[in-house]
Amino acid sequence: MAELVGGVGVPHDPGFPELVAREGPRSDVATRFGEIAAELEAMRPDALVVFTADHMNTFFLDNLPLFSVGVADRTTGPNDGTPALPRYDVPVAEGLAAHVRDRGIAAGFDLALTQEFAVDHSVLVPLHFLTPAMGIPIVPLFIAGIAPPLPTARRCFALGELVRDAVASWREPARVAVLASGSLCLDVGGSKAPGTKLSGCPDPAWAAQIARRLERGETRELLAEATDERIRASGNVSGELLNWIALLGAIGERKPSLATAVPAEGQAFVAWRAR
Amino acid sequence: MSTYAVHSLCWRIRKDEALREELRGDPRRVLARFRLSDAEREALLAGDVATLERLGAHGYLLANLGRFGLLGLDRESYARRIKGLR
Repeated sequence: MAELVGGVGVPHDPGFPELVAREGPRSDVATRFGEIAAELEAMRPDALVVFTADHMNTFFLDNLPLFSVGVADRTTGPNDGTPALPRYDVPVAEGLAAHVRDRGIAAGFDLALTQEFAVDHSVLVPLHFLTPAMGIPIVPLFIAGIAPPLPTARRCFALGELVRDAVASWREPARVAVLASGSLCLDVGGSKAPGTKLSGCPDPAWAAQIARRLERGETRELLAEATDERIRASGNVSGELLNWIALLGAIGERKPSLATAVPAEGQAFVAWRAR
Repeated sequence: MSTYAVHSLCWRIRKDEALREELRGDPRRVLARFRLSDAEREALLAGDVATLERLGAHGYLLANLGRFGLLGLDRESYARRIKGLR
């Protein structure tokens, strides 16, 4: 039986690889990712379930699944021209991915399927900093958090619980970690970005409140607060919060082992270790 | 419904350099191929992205107009105009 050994949550700003290439390993961003990478390494995962909001690069509005699982032996990317990011080939834990989908459908989750796909910065910026050797196979779980109407927070939490159950019933003795990719609060290219910036966090107080909930393990409170209205009012890609909420469903109610909040940027870097 | 056409245009311009060139040369001809409402077409031609967002277009995709310097916009003017500033 497989075991869920913990999780990490990080932002995936497509400017990060270039910024770190320019400012070096002592920059704030590199340091924050380095701390989370150490936490993840300590979990010794054999596989990594990635909750991510594709940014209309893997899927588009001609065919947009609300929840989809990537079931293949590998994927590649970035497919969106992320600056300073090398071309990566990433192994996919195909058997576990298929098992998550099987268990999901059996449990009433209508999970769409993609068996040939590339991924964008939302998957590869976190992996670039956390697992640059790309030696840990992933299970990509796409949550449509960009194009409203968004799935509800409770549904995404239930999706995380499903992943936890699927891991527990996976036949192989694997150590599985989960990754939430995204900001807590962010507007890109819309009218809510602060000042005359093209992107940014429209509501740092909301981001700080989310970060406090994460730090204190106040999952039920966060679920009640993270309404569709609240999320959409806080920025046009703030639905990335749903990836974090799915992660909380997977890891259960526990406090993080490490948490660094950057509310002015709408971001947090958090790790949870399962005992 | 035709907000889809705005999104489709903004999505394609990121991937299709020939389309970007054509859009710089003859925007009306390009826009005629998309099933846009009159309001959407006029707003696109005017670079009026704030109106397009009000009509339901997603800023994440609209911003490609500024990123690629199309329809009279660049990054800076896009970021001002999406907020209704000149």
